[in-house]
Amino acid sequence: MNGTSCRRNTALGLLSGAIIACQIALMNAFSLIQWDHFASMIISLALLGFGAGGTVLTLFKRWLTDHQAFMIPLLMILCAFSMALAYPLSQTELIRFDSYLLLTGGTHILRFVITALLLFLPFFLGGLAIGLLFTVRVKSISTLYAFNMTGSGIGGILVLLLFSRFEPHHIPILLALIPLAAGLIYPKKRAWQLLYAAGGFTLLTILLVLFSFPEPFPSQFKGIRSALRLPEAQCVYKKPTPYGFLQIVKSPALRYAPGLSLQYRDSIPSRPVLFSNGHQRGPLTELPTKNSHHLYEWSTLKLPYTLRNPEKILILHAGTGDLISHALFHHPKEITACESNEGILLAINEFYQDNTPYTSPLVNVEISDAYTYLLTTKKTYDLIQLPILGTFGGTSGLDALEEHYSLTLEAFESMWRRLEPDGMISVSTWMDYPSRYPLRILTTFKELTHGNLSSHLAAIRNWNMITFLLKKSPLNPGEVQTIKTFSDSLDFDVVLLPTGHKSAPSYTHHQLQDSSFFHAIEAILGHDEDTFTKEYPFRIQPARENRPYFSQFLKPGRIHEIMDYLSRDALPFLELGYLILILTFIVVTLIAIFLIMVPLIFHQPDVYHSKWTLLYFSGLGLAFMFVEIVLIQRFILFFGNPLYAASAVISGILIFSGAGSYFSTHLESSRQTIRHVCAGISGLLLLLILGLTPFLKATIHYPFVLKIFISLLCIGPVAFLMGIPFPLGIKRLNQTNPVDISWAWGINGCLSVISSVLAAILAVEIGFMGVMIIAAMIYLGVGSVQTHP
Amino acid sequence: MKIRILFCFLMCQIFLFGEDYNKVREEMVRYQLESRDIQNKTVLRAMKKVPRHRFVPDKQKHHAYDDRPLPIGYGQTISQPYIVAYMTQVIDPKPEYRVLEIGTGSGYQAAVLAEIVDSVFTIEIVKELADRARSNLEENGYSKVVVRHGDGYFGWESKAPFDAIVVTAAAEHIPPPLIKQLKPDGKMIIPVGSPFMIQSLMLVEKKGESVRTTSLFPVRFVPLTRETR
Repeated sequence: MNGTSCRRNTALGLLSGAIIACQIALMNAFSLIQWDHFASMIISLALLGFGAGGTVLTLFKRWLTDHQAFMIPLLMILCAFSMALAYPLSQTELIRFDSYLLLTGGTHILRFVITALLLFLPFFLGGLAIGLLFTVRVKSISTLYAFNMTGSGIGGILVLLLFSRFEPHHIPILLALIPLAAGLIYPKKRAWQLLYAAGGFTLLTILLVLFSFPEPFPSQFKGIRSALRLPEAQCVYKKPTPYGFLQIVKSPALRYAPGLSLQYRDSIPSRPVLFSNGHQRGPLTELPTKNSHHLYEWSTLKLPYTLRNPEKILILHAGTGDLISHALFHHPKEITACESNEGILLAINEFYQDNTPYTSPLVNVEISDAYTYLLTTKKTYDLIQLPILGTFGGTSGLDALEEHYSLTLEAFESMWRRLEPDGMISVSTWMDYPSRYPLRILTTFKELTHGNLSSHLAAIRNWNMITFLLKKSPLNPGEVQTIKTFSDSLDFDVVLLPTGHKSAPSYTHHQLQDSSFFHAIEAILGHDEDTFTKEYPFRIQPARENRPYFSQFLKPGRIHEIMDYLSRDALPFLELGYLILILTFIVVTLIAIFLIMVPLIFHQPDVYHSKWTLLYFSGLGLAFMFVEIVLIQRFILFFGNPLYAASAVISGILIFSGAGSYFSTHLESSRQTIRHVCAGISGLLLLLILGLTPFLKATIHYPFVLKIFISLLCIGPVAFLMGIPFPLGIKRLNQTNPVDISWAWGINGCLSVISSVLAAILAVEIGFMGVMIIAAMIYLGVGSVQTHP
Repeated sequence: MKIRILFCFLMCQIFLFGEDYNKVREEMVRYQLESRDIQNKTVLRAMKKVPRHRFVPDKQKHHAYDDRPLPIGYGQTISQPYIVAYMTQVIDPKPEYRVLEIGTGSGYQAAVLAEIVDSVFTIEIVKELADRARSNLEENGYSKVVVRHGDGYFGWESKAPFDAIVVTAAAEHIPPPLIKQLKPDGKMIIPVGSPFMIQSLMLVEKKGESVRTTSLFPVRFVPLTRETR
């Protein structure tokens, strides 16, 4: 590699890395001020810029290739310029949109479109630069693609490092320095003053924006904004972390008392509240003193402690430590607090100067996903307590697409195994209407106990919360009486007890809207559960490891029925998350089809070749992302930490794919080679489908370094092969139909975006393994697409 | 010429619409309230009388009588007319009642209550909204409504006890001071849900020292319309 190639490849690597990093940074920045799903939607639309780059390249190929020596570095500089300005401009008073108000029409839809267009620009310009480079240097495609992949992998890691150093709104601007550097180091035929002037102007712009762009306002409907409007409210702590932007808000008006009895008449102390990316994560609590009383003694959350004071307690998703504090009140011998978000622990310990429930000598802290911990530990417990599930005031479905491994049937089975003979599992959820969360808990418990549920289960509720208690041994009459007495004393209603759930609704203190909740309980605990769950308009069957979406209830086929059942416009606000995903898929697909088809209108296509190009590169775009997304999910479970998993998998796949692409320099782009490589990928995917989960579970307790090695061992071979088909395909096109190269780049870009959205839908509908099987079939199909002889 | 005609047409529309709020309000009462389950004559009379369009931001005036809540800024909404009427009907207000409202918002609910009862006290936590509601109420002849800026969590002890308390947004717990300040046999009404959607209305009834709750109806969804600020 000579100096010029080295500078060219480095510039490509830098640009590719910056684009991936910018995508993640924008996603994070929008999640902070809006909601995750709207953030994904807008970023997906913006990413279509990659596809559009391919389309424009196809349409203006001659002019662009003639001026490529000037255009490629200019496009890189323009990419930097737009990267620096896109986000700040989208947050100006005139353009800023509010996710909630999108649903009501008006100017916010226009604002949303303008925002998407602004964000589209850096991806479009970057995609165009890369596509142009691939087109004009097609003979070096293997090396170029290798740099593209490796650069992207490094970019993914870089942005995670930036998350812990800078505030989210500064990161996209800072990242603009990278494509600027790429544009300036890119080899030039002569010293074009215009390029250097553009570079200087861009640098000035980046610095100006960086120092003048104020922290953007979150949506007026977001938790952090409401909290800051309270009297004397102030943000007393903020810290950027890779897990999210953490803020602690203090106000005398911030009080929290879930499940509280209406018999409680004393004062409720105000407590600071922790927010992560603008969402409330829970109230903060100091290490309780010996004489302090605990508010949860007047709450349904006390249910497990009414039977006895458990000695060994496991608290899953311990968060801000509220439940630990309550557990400490009952003087256990040992508490294990499991929390995967290390940032929360650091923040609250820093805020209270290490005087938090986590710092009690009785508490062992496990920084891990709850399910991962359950799979690795050999300890047994008297009580396993889960956090409060759902959202007060009824779910809006915004966490429907969040993977909750610790709420899957397999996780509950692990909890069951980790209980002492008289151990208990306790879980509380807000009462929702139509009922979904409590019913899913019930179906999960029923399956967990193989239908032998009634003698093990108790449930009590107040006006807005229900607490379930599942005991490993049957509840005895004394325990039943204790629960009844406790409920009566605090005006709670008994919903379930082993003495037989009542056929009539148990209205004593808190009457529900109608009896549908009780009929549902009857049906689930009775013999016609299957019929009931099939007929019920929402999914309430247990979540599984393969489809860990505990909060996803929408049955797409029953949308009309649900709309009739509720009211016409209620649905979007009940199951918003999944609906946004479906809407994103439809919009992205329509735009992608347009972008892919436009070049065919203006250029007389060679139908035979174009068909091959379309099928081959669509397949690669789809399958690559399918594999990546499923592997991330599998490794989240393995590492017990989404951050490590995403870093290891994304970087591992991209870097190994880069190596594969580089290796493809030595391969001929023959039909056989492509077929063999694709068959190899499908074969390895099949191996992963069959063996990955059991293998990872068997090695889950290994030390972290060894786990990294294992993950690279699992990912490496398949990722290496996955890096080969794209450069081989481009090489083949160069031999048979070079005019299609830029189009192929566009197709690949568009399909990658569709793929990321489609994978999420398929994961909900058919599970991760189903997505992987489809990916294997696509690779097999891609290998057998008839190439020109 | 065409432009001139169009301009005249638009002006006529604006003029007519401006004059027609009474008619629109009557239609609102007929189609949104009477046709549903609002039967309390006093409540219907109050709803017919209070000029809702004067309690919404200027940009929202033409939506004032729509069957939905409207944003009033600061993440708050003015409830759908039906919800206001329903909440008022549930507490069954009598002229001699002392009513406390927690969450003044635009002041509209307080104005409806003031049409029926003698003493209305209302507390708003957002200062800007409290100031705006106070002037709205005064300008529209509801100066007997006493507006206070503060944390409604503590109720209004010096004016307690109350025959009814209307809370416009629920917290995950019902503030104990509000229960204390409710008269025996007093009623408290609370909507539970998000800014988008009220999922249920919670009626809290104090019977001696015991407190009972009743969820009053299943989902009644009404979408928001446009932003105001």
